[in-house]
Amino acid sequence: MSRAKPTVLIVDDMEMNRIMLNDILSPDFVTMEASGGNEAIKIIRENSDKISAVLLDAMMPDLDGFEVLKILSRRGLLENIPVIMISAENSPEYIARGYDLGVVDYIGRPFDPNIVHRRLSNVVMLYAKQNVLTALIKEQISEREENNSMLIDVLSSVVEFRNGESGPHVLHIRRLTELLLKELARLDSKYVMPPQDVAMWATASAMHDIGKIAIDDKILNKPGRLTDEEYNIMKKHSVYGYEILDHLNWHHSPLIEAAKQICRWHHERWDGNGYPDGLKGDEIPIPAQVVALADVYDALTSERVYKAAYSHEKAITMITGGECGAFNPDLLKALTHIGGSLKKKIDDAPDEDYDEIAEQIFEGLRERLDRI
Amino acid sequence: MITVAEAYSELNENYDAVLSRLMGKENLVLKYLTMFKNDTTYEALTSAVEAGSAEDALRAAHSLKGMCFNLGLINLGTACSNLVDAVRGGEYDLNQLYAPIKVEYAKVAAALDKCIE
Repeated sequence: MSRAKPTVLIVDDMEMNRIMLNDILSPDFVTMEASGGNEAIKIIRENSDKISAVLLDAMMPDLDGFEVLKILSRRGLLENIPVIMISAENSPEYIARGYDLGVVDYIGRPFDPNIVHRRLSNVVMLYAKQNVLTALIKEQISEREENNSMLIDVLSSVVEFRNGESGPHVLHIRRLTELLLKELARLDSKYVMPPQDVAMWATASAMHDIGKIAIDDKILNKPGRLTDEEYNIMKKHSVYGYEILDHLNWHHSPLIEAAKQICRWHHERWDGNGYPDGLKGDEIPIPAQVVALADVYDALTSERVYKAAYSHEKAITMITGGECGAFNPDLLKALTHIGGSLKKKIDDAPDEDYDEIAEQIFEGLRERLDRI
Repeated sequence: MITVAEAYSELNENYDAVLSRLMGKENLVLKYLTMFKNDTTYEALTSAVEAGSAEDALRAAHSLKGMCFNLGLINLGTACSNLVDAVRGGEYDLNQLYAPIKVEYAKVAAALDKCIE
């Protein structure tokens, strides 16, 4: 914890009270003063990062202590800044009201300066520790999530490389999934989901093609057109992906469950003409529908050995014209709604790094396999 | 001139209690008493009572009460406290409640005049 003096805001309409508290506290605290409720709110809002605690008088002419507490509470400022109420009013009703509104301590007048000092120090220390711990936990969780996403992207890109497709495809799908899910929610409230779920589906979307790892190289990288028999084998990658994840026995993981759905159903179509299960309409989970559309869109707008990249407009025309199978009308609306900026948004994703890492891993794997 | 301790004993108040609360610092007690002497809350209370404004009287009496208790001026503080409680209770005669405050304040003011320049 920092050795710097913590900052305390003293709120009291009586100058003498402020000076008394200032005299008691100034050796160990940096003090700020407010002579009324409105001024206190303003100072707290502007210095919420700096203020370690507030000493609040209950009775003030412009805005009393209880109103100040209500406003701080509404703005979520009471969670991180402890408030100690000081008042000459020592009736139980008053004290109870203070606690109900979220004060951490209540000190009556006349107060003993040593006790004010002690109570304030204790509260500041407790909150400082709590704030440090909260920040630490947040940092660790976000770091872990970032590592997880990176690992998933890298491993998924390895699969894409074997497939002869570009590494960025995985990142494009992740980005498209996120954008489409958000746009769907914007267009219709029935598609609204918590932000952490959007993030989870986006991460899961990166794994959509991992089943291709189980498809024979000769079919996967065949230069010409696949025979019916070969195409049927190729189609199995959806179920293979599902099975790979299912065998992990991580059934408690929402992310793995999400990825299982996406692997299995990202080639289903709205009219029931997709595979492997021929699901129709709402039978297909929305995220799987989203990934299916993202997959098609990215394939059309990216360069492949056998074709140039189509423009956004050309891709939209082909998709809405049904050339790539049927999609949920709501989803098509979301896609067209995002419009021409979509391609740029996807390309803006910093994908070179993953691409390079994936290529290195893949080359390493191939060398090792060649030696066997 | 008399000492602050003598002024407190004239007022039948406990100086030692105040001094020990203020960490034995006589200069601090003197500083706050000087501020108290120059404070205008009592005048605000008087005007409020004259104007018949119970709300303003309550606020002023409350502030005065807090200062008095911190300075160990218990008699004046108690008189203020009685006004606050009565007005909050809803049944009161402002002038009747103000009378003892006026008496106690006069005593405090006189004693402070003798010990502070």
